Amino acid sequence: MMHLFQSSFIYHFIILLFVWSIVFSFIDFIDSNKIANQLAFYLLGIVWLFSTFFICYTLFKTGFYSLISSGEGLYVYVWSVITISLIINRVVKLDYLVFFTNVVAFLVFALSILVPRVGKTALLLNQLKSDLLYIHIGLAFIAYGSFTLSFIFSVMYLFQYKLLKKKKWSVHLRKLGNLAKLEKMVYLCNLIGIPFLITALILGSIWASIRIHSFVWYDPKVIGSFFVLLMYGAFMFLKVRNYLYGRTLTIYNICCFLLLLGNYILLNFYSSFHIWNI
Amino acid sequence: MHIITIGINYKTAPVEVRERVAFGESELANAMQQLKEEKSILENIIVSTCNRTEVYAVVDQLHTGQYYIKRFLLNYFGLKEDELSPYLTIKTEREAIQHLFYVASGLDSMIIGETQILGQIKDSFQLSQENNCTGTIFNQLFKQAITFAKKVHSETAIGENAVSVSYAAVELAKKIFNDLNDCHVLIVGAGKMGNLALQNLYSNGIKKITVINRTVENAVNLAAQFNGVGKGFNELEESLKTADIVISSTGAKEYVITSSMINRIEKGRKGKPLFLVDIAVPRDIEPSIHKIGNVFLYDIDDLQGIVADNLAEREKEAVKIKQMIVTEIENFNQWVNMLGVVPVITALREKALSVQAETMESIQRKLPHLTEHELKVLQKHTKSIVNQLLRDPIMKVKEMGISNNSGAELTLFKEIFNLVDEPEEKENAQKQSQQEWNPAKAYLGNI
Repeated sequence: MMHLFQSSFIYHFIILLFVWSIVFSFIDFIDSNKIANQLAFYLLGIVWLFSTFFICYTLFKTGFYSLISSGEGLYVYVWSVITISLIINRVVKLDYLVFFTNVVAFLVFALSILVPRVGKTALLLNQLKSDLLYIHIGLAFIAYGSFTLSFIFSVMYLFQYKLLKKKKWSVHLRKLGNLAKLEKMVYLCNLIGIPFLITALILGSIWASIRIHSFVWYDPKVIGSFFVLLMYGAFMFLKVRNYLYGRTLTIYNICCFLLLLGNYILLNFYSSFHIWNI
Repeated sequence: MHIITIGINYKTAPVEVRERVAFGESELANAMQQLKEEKSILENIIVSTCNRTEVYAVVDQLHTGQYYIKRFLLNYFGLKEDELSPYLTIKTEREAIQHLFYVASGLDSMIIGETQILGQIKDSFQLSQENNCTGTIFNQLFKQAITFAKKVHSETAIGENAVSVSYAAVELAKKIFNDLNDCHVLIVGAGKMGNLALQNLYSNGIKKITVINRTVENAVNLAAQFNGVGKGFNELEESLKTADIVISSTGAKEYVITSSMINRIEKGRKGKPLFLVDIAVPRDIEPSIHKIGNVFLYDIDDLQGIVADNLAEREKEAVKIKQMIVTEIENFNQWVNMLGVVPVITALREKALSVQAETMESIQRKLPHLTEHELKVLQKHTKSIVNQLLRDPIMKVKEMGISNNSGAELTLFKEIFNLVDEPEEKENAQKQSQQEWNPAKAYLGNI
């Protein structure tokens, strides 16, 4: 699919729009420019539309498996992050959300281009043909998207916290949401992400135990994924029971996200069953 | 016609003068009616606030108008010439228009960017309209100024930042907490400052209030006014455990809230944010508290620093708005100039259409056998010729209306097409009273 993307004019056009969206959101971030803010938002919307079209086109033309290698997977991950951020931006107006989302999404987007693509063998394709796997991956993308947004809100929280500590009434301080709201958004995104991650892990485990003969429960990917779930579960516990607030809670959330990234990127090298990512 | 503004404001006159030259709300309509009767005054609007009393007027002669407005103010307030004249500011034409835009946008206000003055100008304008004291010029100019002011307030940051210490404190609290209604406010010190702070917070929706004071009775009395709880100093540490916002303003010589006190309660608070505002001098709260995580301490200097920064920000925005006002004035002048062009275009069209009508009558006389359909075709085509011939001259005359030498050019245009006013019209024009003044004709006569 990526080859199809990379060779097409529209794919380059999407990158160009993405870059311009970042430029405009950066202008807004620095200069508090309303027009730039609007332009960044609309450009990101167009990027989302084109990406949605490409994903649907690929699903229709080549089937689901083409979306689940490392490179394509990251592309769908970027798409899910943009989708969730656009929804949040629509429902809860939060300045700078587009900017932070843009930065994170573009970094992953750039990474998705660099990741090498390996052709899939007939045996692998046969192994990948499973509804359970499709649902597992779909749910995991939603969970990852939510956790990414939660991470973005945590960064925004710490940024606002720092401004308040510096006692400087700047444009950034005025435009960033209040600490309580940002903390709430961190919590809500995790609240959405956790159930999706739980279901994704359960379905993924069932699929692996049926289809992958070499699957073992002590596989680093399995342990890593359940450890991530445990960490996010602890987040919810600490938050709901009011054991942690504010800065400490957001720092903890950032740690959870870094763990999630590590689990997604690093542990794949040691895993024996996340075969489509190889 | 000339636009003029005469008045006093906080920059030119001390409060002793301003309080003597102020129109009460109930007097304004009557005052505008009286001014309307004065010689040379064609339109007038009086704006009277605690910071300014200004008369905006359209006059037919500059010096006469100026004289009569001044005389009106002296008579109305029973003042002598030397009691008012030194403080009067007189602006005419472009300067007067610019002044109106500055005032409406809040650029001329004591607190730059405030919006109260816009409402006051709007009210005065409406009142003047209701009393038939405005005409074509002010109906356009004031509407334009009010629309412009609304636009700059919504599209620029001129009114966005806090410019008073109490407002800055509330704005800061809003950057920490989502809903002030849910916050527990602790007021330390039941003096005048504490009372003022409480009033401000209460008006912002805060409901849960505790007042701490050395004399418990004073704390209870102050808290009772805001449905709060009054306590003694011995309960300070316990109250801090549940507080979200603390405002301290005691007369104590030493720190009332210390770093060790906050460290002791912080464990119990589990990182819940605490916003402390110290408005006492000497300070009540130990400054090192600000270093503790999730605790935000702002003293009076910090808040004043924010206010100063915000005022500087507003000044920057004001520079942008002033540039926008230049364009607005140009637009208004273009509109005024176009007023002179409209009657010329109307006369030209009427003349051309009368020629066409006469031609049609002549054709009908000479060719009586033409059918109705043929006559319709002829009517349509002759009108089309007229319209096509007029298209370019009309376009040109519109351009002339906004050129620098529009008066002379329009006169030449009228001479070329022989657009002379009907004698009857001239007679009517002479009969027109000053109140029924035609701005277009006045403008053309003026240039």
